[in-house]
Amino acid sequence: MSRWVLVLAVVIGVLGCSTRSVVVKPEDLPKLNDQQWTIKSEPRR
Amino acid sequence: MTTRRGWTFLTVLVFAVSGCALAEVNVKPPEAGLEKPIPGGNQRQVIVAIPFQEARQSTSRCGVQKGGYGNETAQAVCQGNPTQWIAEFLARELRASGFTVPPSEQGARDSALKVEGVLLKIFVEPVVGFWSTTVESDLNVKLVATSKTGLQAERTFFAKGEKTSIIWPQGIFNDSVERGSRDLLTKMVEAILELMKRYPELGLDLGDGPKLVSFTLETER
Repeated sequence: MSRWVLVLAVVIGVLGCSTRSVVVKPEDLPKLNDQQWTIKSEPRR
Repeated sequence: MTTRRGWTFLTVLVFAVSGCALAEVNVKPPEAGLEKPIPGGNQRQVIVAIPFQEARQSTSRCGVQKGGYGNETAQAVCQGNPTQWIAEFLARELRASGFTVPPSEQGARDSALKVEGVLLKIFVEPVVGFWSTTVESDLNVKLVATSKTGLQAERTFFAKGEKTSIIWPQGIFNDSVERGSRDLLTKMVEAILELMKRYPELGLDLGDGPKLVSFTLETER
């Protein structure tokens, strides 16, 4: 029994490192930020 | 009997390992804005629409809590309305940068820049690693900038806060959100400064030029 508990703990421990489910990867940030304003209409001068 | 005792032991072990992660997490708004304000406002006028518009896919939670094996164990809920406190933080940070931020649009200059925001995402999630865990916060806001003089511009901002720790109770979530909020504030204020540098007449009192109201020659006294 104790052997199976050990095996289960190792399997869960190894596979347990979670991935992101909702948050994005840090390397994706530049793609998600607009690099500049989109000007649809300029102000009258 | 031995098997039953084993399962009991296993159940207790699992709860012991993940026990601290079963409670709902309350994500608090940050207590302060940027440590060092970004200068450049020069008393120009910016109106911030408070609160921002709500456009999150799910408003019932602001994130998740996870156990040591990366399993979702509880929800994280926002204290206060993030559409309100993010907008308030932006207004406060613009004042700290030297802008004049009137409480409402009434009485504002025609040249004033009006900033309206749309909250697209705020989500906090632990990314469980083998040795440590990083609590990541995503904040996504779209700003729409307009003026009575005809400006219409928009820009999307995405910020991330990260806090790494061996354990990840509520305080780590709050630290992560604070870092993400400061990153977002920095990006938004810098972008507004950039927009007003491009159009320097925005927010200025164009009638503030020197005016000669009266003049008295006093040399004859």
